[in-house]
Amino acid sequence: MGTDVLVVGGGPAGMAAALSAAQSGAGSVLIVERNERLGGILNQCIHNGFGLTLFGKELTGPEYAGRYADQIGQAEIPCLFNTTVVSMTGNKEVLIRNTDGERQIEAGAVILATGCRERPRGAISIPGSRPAGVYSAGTVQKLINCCGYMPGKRAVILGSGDIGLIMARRLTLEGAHVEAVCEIMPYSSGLKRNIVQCLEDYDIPLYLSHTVTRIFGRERVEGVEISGVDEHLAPVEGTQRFIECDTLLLSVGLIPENELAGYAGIVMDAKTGGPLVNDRLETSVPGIFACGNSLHVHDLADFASLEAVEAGKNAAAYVKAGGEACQEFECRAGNGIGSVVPQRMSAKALAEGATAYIRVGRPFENASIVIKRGDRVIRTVRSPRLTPGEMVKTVVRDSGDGDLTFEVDSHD
Amino acid sequence: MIKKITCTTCPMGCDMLLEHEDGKILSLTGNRCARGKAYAENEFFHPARVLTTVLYVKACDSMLPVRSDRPIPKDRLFECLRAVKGIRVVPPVHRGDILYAGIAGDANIIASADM
Repeated sequence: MGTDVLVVGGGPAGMAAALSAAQSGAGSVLIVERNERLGGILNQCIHNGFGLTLFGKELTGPEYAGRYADQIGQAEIPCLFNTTVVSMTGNKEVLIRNTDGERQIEAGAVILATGCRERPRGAISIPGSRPAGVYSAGTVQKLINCCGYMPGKRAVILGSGDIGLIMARRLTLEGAHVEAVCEIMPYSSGLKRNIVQCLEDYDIPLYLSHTVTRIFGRERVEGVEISGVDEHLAPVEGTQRFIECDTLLLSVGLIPENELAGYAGIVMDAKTGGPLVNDRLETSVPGIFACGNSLHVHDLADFASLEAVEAGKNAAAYVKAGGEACQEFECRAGNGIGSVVPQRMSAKALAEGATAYIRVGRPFENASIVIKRGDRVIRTVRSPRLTPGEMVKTVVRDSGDGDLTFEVDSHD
Repeated sequence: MIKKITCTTCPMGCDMLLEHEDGKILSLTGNRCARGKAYAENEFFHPARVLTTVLYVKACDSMLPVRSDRPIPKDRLFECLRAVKGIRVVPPVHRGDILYAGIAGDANIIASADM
């Protein structure tokens, strides 16, 4: 069995990529989705705030997914549900498995839209036993919103990323009491809107520069110890405080899901956790593209979908015309920059204007992102406020030569 | 009295201070644009939020996401939530169907998904 474009994952990126590939003239497009329906994580994000950029409306996750799924249906793009991609080669031979068994699909181009995973408890070291009641925030989201289970009555949330904030509100609305949200950094990585509407609205305290240093309880969580941290993020002796609770939620970051990229021998970027891509969102393996949260974690679903539209177009073009060899330049994350995507830009794309997605490494006020080629500044993006929680998107246009360096120029 | 309001209109997230007395705004500082002023006034006089929750649908043994089709006054969210939880959903339901008309004035509770 073969297909022109195979899209792995049917979430906000996968659906947008598939539609875009079909609209850009790919003869056959196939979505492989491990769930029983389209939407991915959108289906468990029942809160509003989706679609402002793409649909000009404030939708819930399921509504956003539903609108896209309708378009996929109208475009008659086939979807294989309850199907997992088991492995993939650099030749774009994709092995899938479902209840019918295992099958290999030869794809003209592959788009990785596999999303991301939550960092688990093991990724942060909290001493203590292993009682029931410690969950990742997304797991609680699924339990409450999709399964109808309340995981506890009194919760502490570690991490103030958006999912943690959203879950503080969800738990409160569904009758639990959220004792506190602790954030190890001196700032929240969540959107301001979520700080206001999920914490302040319900008088939930946010302790910045605080972390959970101990979990109490044998069978079930009985409480946690929180501590203030110093500038090196080390707990400060004497600041410990006990909070009684039966549930601890972890919202401590997201990791792009890229097992498949590994099988195909795709070169990864340690900074983003996703594949290294060029301006066409093509990975180091020709014809394999990446987009959405599997490429790098986005702030909003809308942005993941918008990026995926580009991946879809480029995959369709690759199938029709084949890859084009073009001189490429590196995009380096310099001083103050957390990550830059794409990591490579072609001379042609730079001449026409290529989009860069930039995340800063820490918050800055009244600073600029400066893009240089050697000592020559080719673009300056000024901002009164730069935070790691908000990705900066900018177009770089230059017909010169040499690799690009992205830096933060802080005026303070 | 001083009320701290964070503007959520754009990613700038201006921290504003609104000085008020007897339900009247005396002054506003910290906003960088006119949208911030409008936001602060609205947050002061009529704070409202879209309510989202889930309902158990017995016939399908699964959860249906629902929301209010417009913002509901903030101080009535929990009262509305109790009313929403009493809705008995009989499938089939389509995205956008009104499940409860006229909650907290002219807001409706609508289905967020098909079931």
